[in-house]
Amino acid sequence: MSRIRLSRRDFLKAIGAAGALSIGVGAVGATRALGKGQTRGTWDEMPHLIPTVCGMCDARCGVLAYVVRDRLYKLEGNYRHSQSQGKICSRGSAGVKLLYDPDRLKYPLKRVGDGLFDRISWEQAFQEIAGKLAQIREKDGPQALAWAVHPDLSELWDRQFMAAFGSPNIFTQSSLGQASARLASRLTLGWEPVPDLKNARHIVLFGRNYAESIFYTAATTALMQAKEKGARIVVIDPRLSRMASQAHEWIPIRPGTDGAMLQAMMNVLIAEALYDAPFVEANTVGFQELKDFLADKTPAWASTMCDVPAETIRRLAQEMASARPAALVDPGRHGAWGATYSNSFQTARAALALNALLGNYGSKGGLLTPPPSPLGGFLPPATSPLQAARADGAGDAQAPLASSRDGVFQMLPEIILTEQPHAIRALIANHVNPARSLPNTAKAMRALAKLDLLVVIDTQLTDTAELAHYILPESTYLERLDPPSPSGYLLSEVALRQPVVKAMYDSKPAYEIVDGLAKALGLGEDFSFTVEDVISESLKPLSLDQAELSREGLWRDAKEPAYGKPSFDTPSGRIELLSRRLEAAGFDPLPAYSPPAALPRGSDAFRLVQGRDAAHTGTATQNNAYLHMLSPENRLWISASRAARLGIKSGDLLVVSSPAGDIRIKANVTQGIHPDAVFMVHGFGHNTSAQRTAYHQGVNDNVLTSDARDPVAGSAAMGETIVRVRRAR
Amino acid sequence: MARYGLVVDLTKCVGCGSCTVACQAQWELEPEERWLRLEIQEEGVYPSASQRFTTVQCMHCDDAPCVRVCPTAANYKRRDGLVLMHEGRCIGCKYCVVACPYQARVFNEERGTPGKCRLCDVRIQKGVQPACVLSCPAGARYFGDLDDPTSEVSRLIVLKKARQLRPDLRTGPNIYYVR
Amino acid sequence: MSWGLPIAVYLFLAGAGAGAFLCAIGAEVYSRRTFRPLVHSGTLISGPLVALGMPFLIYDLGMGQREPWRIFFLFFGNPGSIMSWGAWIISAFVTVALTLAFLELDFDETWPWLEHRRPHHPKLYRRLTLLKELMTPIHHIIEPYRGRLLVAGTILALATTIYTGLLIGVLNSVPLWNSAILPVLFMDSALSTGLAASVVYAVVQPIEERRLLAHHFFSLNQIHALMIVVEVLFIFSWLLLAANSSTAAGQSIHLLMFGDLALFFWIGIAFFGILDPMLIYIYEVVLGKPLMAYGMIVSDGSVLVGGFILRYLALAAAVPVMLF
Repeated sequence: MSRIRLSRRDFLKAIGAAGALSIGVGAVGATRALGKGQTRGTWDEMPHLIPTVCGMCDARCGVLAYVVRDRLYKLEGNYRHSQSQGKICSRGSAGVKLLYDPDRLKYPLKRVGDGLFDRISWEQAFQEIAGKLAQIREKDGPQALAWAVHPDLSELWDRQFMAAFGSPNIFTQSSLGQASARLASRLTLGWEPVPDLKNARHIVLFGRNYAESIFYTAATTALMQAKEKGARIVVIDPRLSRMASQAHEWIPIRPGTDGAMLQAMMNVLIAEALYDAPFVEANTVGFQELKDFLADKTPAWASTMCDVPAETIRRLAQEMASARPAALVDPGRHGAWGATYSNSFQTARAALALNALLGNYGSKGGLLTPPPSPLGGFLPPATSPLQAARADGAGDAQAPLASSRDGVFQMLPEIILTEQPHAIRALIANHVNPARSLPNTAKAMRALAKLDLLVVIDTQLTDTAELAHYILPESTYLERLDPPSPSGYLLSEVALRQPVVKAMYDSKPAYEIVDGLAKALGLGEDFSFTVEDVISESLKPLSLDQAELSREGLWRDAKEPAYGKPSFDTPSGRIELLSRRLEAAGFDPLPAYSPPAALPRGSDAFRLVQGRDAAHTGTATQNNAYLHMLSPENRLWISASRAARLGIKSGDLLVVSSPAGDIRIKANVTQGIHPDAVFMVHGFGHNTSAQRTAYHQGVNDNVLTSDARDPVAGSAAMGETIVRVRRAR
Repeated sequence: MARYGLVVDLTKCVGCGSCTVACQAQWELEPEERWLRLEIQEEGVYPSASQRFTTVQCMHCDDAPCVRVCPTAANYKRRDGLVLMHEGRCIGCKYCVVACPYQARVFNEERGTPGKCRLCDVRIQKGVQPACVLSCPAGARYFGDLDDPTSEVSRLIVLKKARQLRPDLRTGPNIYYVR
Repeated sequence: MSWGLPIAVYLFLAGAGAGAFLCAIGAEVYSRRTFRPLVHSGTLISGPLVALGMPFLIYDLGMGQREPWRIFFLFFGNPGSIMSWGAWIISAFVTVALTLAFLELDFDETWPWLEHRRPHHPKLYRRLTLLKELMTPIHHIIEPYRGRLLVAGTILALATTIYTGLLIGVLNSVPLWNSAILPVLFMDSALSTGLAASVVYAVVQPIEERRLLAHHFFSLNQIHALMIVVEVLFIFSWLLLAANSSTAAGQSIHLLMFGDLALFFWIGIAFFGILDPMLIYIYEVVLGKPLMAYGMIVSDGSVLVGGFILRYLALAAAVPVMLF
């Protein structure tokens, strides 16, 4: 056997050489290899920017889309748009996850069983739906069709369809969130005021949440700029919202009693002669009556009702007076009096009256007239006048002041179920989710299930869609050319929504769907126009054409908001502190306060307060991957003192019940809520397994909510919901 | 050479999370990957309760622990102050993730490397603001050169007495907060 | 925490391997003849123990399996990084320890386990015998350097035990770790687990070896009991200091003693790591004679379990510094 003979020296040399070699290789490798990994968010070619209009909520801020090779990369605020000013909220940025949501509706679907759908073609969908509609019209009359209007720029087609079809039963969602305040504004001022936040020196927000219900980003910016310049911000809210956390003062209030506090503040202004007498003299009617009426509505009186110390109420009124006219009570959106309690309408009136006493209408830092829309109107082809009256009685003797254009949406389930005053057999829900947006979900779903025909047009398979007979996939706002949006924060402005990518899958813009349906029904004559016709007609007064507007994305005239004495669009031409129209309709002509209809009684009884969070818009965003990450579920806020007495800790599973139903939800025990109230963010609790991210995340608040109404405006008063809370065993 | 940093005015921050999502959209992050996060502390007792919001992200420290501990020198501090990473050198040992006192780094299992705020280096080199700064609806975020006494951020720090977060950790963070 | 089970295993094996080496050196210096089985087993297992930890380390690397050549950067990238030092120390130590293990094998004698293979697997026997013949001259060349290798190995072993504690001890991001006691605690744990591993390995050898060692288990166990007492003192001081230093550290302690990790702590460390072996060692003192082999396996096996759980809990109980 041969033996390998190695001298020690040779061996050591060999080891040494091997070592040196590996060091050498290593060093060379180290110097050469420098970061070659693929970096996200960087591109070989420059993205091109397309200006468009955001559709993640109703604000419609101008945005810029970054598109690379026909793929949307990201969205940013449009620097030149007055509503966004380059900013973009979390929902706006998350638009990319809506466009590319893998759970999106892709093609028309027809129901073949409980929650089971088959794919069909657009032709088949149009033909079958048209056929069923024709049958229903034959048997029960055109008024048997109800329509829930698209909330975003396609309303023209919806209304034209209903006009051509012959049904008056068209609904917007105004009665669910804003109708009380809007009616109050229209009757008191003739228009809906916009606060000039940036220049205000004292801003009082009753529940208005610029932090979580961001509408527009520019408004939130303006508010914070005012704060930086020294403006005082006071938030009055049963809950410590994020807005309240950023205010100088949070005044917790018993929910539903804001009207009492407003009256007491007015009482102080009058009693201590702090109000703007010349302004009131020149611009209002009914001051004397109001003064007499408010004589006994002292802070002490109000304090027992709203649970705010009398001294605080007095001080607040005094502070506002010392800052006037740059002192305002924000007119709000939904919150305290948009359409929340049975007293919402009068509460909204009281706020407008208080602003009048401060003399801030038309002043810098006060409430301004909304900028006029510079757009021309497009007149669709004329149709025969409607034969039938609205089923919900809006505008009729039943509900004389309720808007007949908007209707009273939450009455629809009752009408469907009782067939009073007549049967409604069909509903077309155009990007609306009544199975979750209407109060009393159980009742709403029973009504929807009873329909002979339910057609849902949407981008997602919502809880309403799951009950539908036909589901028609809509293109998202990022894939559509829409009629121009009259936008503008304190300024007259127009923005164009144009597609940033081609329509995905087999989706169509909602107006094309309505158009297709109409033509299948033989209503083609009434639909002889395209969206381009609408755009060109709308832009005529601006001497712009679509191509020009498309390049810039927006058009604006003025640079500054218009200050100066406004004109009031009321019978008297003045601010109607006393309204004869209200009197004629049988309601109190002065902003009278009545406590909420229902009151919580018992150690486990609370008032349910619903609200927003910054990541979500109603029920539309829970399946969005980015927004779900920010806010995956809702919990029940409950005050620490009452939770302690009920043995509840944060994270405990609770059973919450009301006459309408009950839910199980986790507790969030907090110091930041009035002891009478429990709070939930609205929009969670999707029960559709098709929405994989949103499925069973959080809980649906409307299972609990009451059918109560504001008698004046007819709007929903979901704040009249009293619940009982206990720990789940 | 510049020393880039941020000033965050927490007297304006409304805790809306827009900056978080703007960053994710900018860098095409996964929903669970948060390079910028919002921390909320509830304080006080009803009715004097309040909440404090703070946004936390990589502080681009002058004496960054992540740079000190990185065994492959993948993490480095650029001359303009940004703390960045050579993607091709990282071995994914997670020492930097563990070493950062601000918990600023997020490990991406799929890619095998950690990610963190880059102060939008590709944007600032084109003279554009970082995505989080631009998006903030409250206008609470400012970007600029901390070494330039006339820059907006430098002036804000002096005027509003902006302070670093946990300066006692002695990493020399370059993000200042106004409270 | 980002570092979990794989890193805990790596730290444990690195510590045990280095500790086994140090015990072997200690035993050799004290009396090679008396403690020959311990020296033999300690030297044999120390290299493989540490080497066994390396795949766990590489598995934990995000890029380790995808682009393994990046590991070169580990050595030449950042001389200031303790992990870089660790790469050098461990690599050098494994080389030295494996070489010394190689030297422990007596190439001039026949190997009984090899001879047993001869009738059943003749081909394998021929190949292994050829390998043995090839290695014999190498063995002879390296043998004279054994002394120098031992010195180098001792330094490297000490460095290894200290480095595992220093790695997390220098960070200010986790108050629980930011303690000067941690490197010393880990060193003591390394010695203790190293000794335990060597004893367990020695005890499972053929009977002649075992009987040799059995005479000295008694004094060995006294030393081991002392190590455990010292370890208890270190753990106690570590936790006490942590509980008083900051909120985050306090939370770590709470996690360990009363929270989600309490079961691991009380059963893994308190019982297996401390109580169980101590009871057995004290029982020996009372009885006055060493236990049977299985007694050693129980006591020293418990030490190993406890040592591993200590490393694991040090990582798992980490709570980051409070920013507010």
